[in-house]
Amino acid sequence: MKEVLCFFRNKSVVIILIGLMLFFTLPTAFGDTTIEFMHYQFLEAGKKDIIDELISMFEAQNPGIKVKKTPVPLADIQKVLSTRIAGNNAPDISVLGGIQSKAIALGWLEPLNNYIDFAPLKNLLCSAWDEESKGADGKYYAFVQESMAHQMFYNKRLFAEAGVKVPTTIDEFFDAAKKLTKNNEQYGYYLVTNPAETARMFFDITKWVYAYDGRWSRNNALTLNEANVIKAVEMYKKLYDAKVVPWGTDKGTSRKLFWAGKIAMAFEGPYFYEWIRANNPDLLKDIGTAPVPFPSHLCGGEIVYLGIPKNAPHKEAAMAFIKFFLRKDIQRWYVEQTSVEGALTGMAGPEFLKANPWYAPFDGARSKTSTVEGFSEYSTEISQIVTNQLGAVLSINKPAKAAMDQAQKEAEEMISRKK
Amino acid sequence: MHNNSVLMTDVNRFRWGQVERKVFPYIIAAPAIICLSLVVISPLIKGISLSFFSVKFAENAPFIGLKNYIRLFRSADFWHSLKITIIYSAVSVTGTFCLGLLLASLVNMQFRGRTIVRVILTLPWAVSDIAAAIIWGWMFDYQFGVLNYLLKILHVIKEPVQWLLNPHVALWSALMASIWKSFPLSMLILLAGLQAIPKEQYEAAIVDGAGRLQRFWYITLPGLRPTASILLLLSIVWSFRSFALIWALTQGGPMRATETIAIGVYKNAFNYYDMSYASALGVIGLILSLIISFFYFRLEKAEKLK
Repeated sequence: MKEVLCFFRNKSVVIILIGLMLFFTLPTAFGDTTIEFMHYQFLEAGKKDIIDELISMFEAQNPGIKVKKTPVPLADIQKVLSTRIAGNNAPDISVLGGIQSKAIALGWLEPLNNYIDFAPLKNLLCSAWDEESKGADGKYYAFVQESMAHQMFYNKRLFAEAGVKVPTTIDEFFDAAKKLTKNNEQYGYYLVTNPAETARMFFDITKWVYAYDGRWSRNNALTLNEANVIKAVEMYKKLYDAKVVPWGTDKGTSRKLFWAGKIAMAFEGPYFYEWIRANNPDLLKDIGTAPVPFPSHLCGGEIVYLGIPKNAPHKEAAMAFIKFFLRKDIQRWYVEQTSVEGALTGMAGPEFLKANPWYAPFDGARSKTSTVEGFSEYSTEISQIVTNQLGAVLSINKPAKAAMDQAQKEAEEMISRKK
Repeated sequence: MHNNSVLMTDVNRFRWGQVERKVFPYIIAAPAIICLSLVVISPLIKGISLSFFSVKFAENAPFIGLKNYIRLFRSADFWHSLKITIIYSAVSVTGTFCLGLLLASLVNMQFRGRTIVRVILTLPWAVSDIAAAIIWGWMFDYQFGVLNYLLKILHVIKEPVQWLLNPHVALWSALMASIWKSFPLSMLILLAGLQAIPKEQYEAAIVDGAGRLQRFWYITLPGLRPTASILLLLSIVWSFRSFALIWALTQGGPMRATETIAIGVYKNAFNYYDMSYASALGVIGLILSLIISFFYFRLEKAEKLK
């Protein structure tokens, strides 16, 4: 007892203890709420600063709410988020990292309609909201942070050297790719050809499926072996056999080859322009953009979704952030900072478009992900089945029709087993 | 009276001493047992129980008995994974053991620079699985890989080999990387075993006119038997669990050519979010490891009885 009293007689200890109490209780005592925001973009050079500024603007306009940033690498988002939700330790807002359909199907997310009236925004919401945002009840569960349609980037210098015009059809594209390819030194295009990169390979083949106006599913039935899908697989094989694409190189390396001026064409999102600037600014003067040379004018796209977990501790405050982000002035600012379409369409102003002519093909372009409509909760398994068969087509010359028939059969069996 | 109380105290002290001696080892071992229970036994029991439910991801789910196991045994994917696991394990263990034995025999000889050679040969083991996969991934690269380059300039191949893209070749590529990664440990364990064999046996054999091969067959191999058998058991169990190197190289592809049971467990749990099915697959993997261990210990017992 004496020792304890001696301990507390020491004034510095008392001051430290009082300080700690205040530090941990004052924010709560005065009603400050801290929301935890989990995202991989806090680790991306360039994007991090923009998100930081967005958060600062939100905090300035919403005194009493602070945002705590939790950076998690993209590759780990799914595991970290699902583990935290299961462990009842969910962040207040999180990027969904590709599991939005599963998250909605498993009931992990809070419906946005309970807090936001979407009726006035009906004609402004970008096409991405129709992709994977909604649940079976028709409510929105996933917020579209970014919607990035892929269009064609090309190297004007390589085109001029080869005497090639910008292709506007698939046949012109193939001919251009062949003329731009030089024996292991230079390639016309790049594709993912290694099935180990399942998600990226599935995304790449989906671009070609859309090119031929094919779909992985129609009217709630799988159509992995429909004629247009087979045409897409045959085209993928044609590009592979012609060696206009590097074989087996992972996507990261292929992009580096493009930045080094060794690959002439790429189908990428608008973020690619900033990546070129970051990796090889000298290349920018040689870069041109054009719509994808597909009759459907539809290429694949990427959509970044945010969600508020059902068991998030501060849902109201988190929804305040979402509402702030959905404001037209904020959307315009975001588009002009990131060069990427946000939740609302057509937000890029005329001055921005004039200053960034490369952005023209992306403005208002429709973004469609590789998710299999109506079967989104099985997308991972279906992508594995499709890429397995696509790998067989590429490496052991399995006929495209036989491969996709097999994929259709395996996918149907997998779904009936899991139901 | 005084003598009785002293005697009783002595007796009590003696009994307490006996109890202390019996209980003390358990007290010392208790922290480790508690940690092991929390970190190993508890998750193991949880994992096994999960296999009897229909859990997608940690939600409360119905008990379904053996349905996951029935689905598993009816699934062509499982039998394929089992086949790949057996092939992978057999070739990996054999290759690691043979290469380890060969190199252990070499570095057991006296020559200049032996220590440096031993250190260099241990380096693959010091490299992490992921780093090894990145190195081998680049070596196997179709376009830019050093393997295809060397084989081409030596006129062994005309066209580059699709080491990781061709489903007929990918498993052997993964095995190459795996053997390279694992042989140092085998080499070190077998080297220790070789050094434990009395030199007098070799000297006597030389006097009796035994050749090199005979000495190896009749002295070295029997002398290594205890070491080799435990090494083989551990190698088999480790190869059954092998995950990181294969995942980093091929992710179980192409066309599931390298999808072992361990890869299947990971995919089902974290790609398809089918936790129960993944648990059932994991339990089968565990049972297979236990069966192998059981046969090993039976053989050992039989040998000892002989």
